[in-house]
Amino acid sequence: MIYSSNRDALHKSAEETLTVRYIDVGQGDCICITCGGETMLIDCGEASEAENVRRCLNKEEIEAFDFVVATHPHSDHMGGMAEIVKSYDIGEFIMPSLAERDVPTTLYFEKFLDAAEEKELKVTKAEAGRKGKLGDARWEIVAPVSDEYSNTNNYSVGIVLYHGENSFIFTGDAEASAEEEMVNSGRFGHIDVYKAGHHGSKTSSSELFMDTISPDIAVISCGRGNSYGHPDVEALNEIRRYTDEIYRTDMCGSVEITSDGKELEVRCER
Amino acid sequence: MREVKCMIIDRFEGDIAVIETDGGTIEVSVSELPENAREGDVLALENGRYTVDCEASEERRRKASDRLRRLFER
Repeated sequence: MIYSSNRDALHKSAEETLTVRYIDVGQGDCICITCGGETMLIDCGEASEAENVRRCLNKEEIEAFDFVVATHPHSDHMGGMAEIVKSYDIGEFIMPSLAERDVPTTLYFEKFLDAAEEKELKVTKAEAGRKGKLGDARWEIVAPVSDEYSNTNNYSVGIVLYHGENSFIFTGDAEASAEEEMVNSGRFGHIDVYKAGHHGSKTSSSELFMDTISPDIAVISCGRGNSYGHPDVEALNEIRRYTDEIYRTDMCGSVEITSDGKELEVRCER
Repeated sequence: MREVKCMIIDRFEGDIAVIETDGGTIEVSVSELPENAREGDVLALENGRYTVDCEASEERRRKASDRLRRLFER
């Protein structure tokens, strides 16, 4: 496997423990990452899950976030974001820049705007190539690569997280064409832990993308008995070409993966 | 009899449109919506038939876009 120079540059030894929690929010995404006392939240699920998310975060004694990332403005990813903004101090809020025609008009998004204005939230545009730290973990934004898309899913912010020898990727609902853009930008190679794109929909986990990241572990965040057939058998088959170690939140509940920089440990809620 | 509720298309999941209403989310077959309906459109339900309220859609889109731009510029 060929690794990009960026990945090598991001590789550092790890002394702190990294914890990635894929919180079970039914049909949606919500990932909480902690390392060395620093915190990042990627998406927060539907507004109806806000109390559930708050309970999970309280249990981990999380009172503030250094970074909150909204991958893209669909209600299953940022429906509850107004509550997050109101309830927690946030160092920086990262989301994709959207063409005017693609800006949501929904009530939950309006509530998010209300809360963001009220809190004078610092909001920055996700720019591919930007790098940052979270404790002794390193992250890099790998998507969106283009300025405009014809499909809101493809605006999804993609993030690769490195901790010692371990790596994680989060791609929101990015579909095959956006996955191809990410691969072609050459910012990453093999990734250890893959959060399946678009809840395991057949629109994502394309052959090219899976061949590039060849993951050892996959996590699928989806709701039990959802109406959309997620995860789709086509996507599952693509993932299974590389790993049978697949954790689904509809079956396992919340999934927690810890890294000491070398080993990965997976714990499921049920 | 004219019935109008607040209904906004959040997204499409395959053949299903996920629609936000002031009473929660509903799912409607794409085939029940006008052909030109797209994300962010405000819908009206008149005599059991969905229509797009173009004026309300554009007004909400413009307002949200202005507010988002100001957040990024802060």
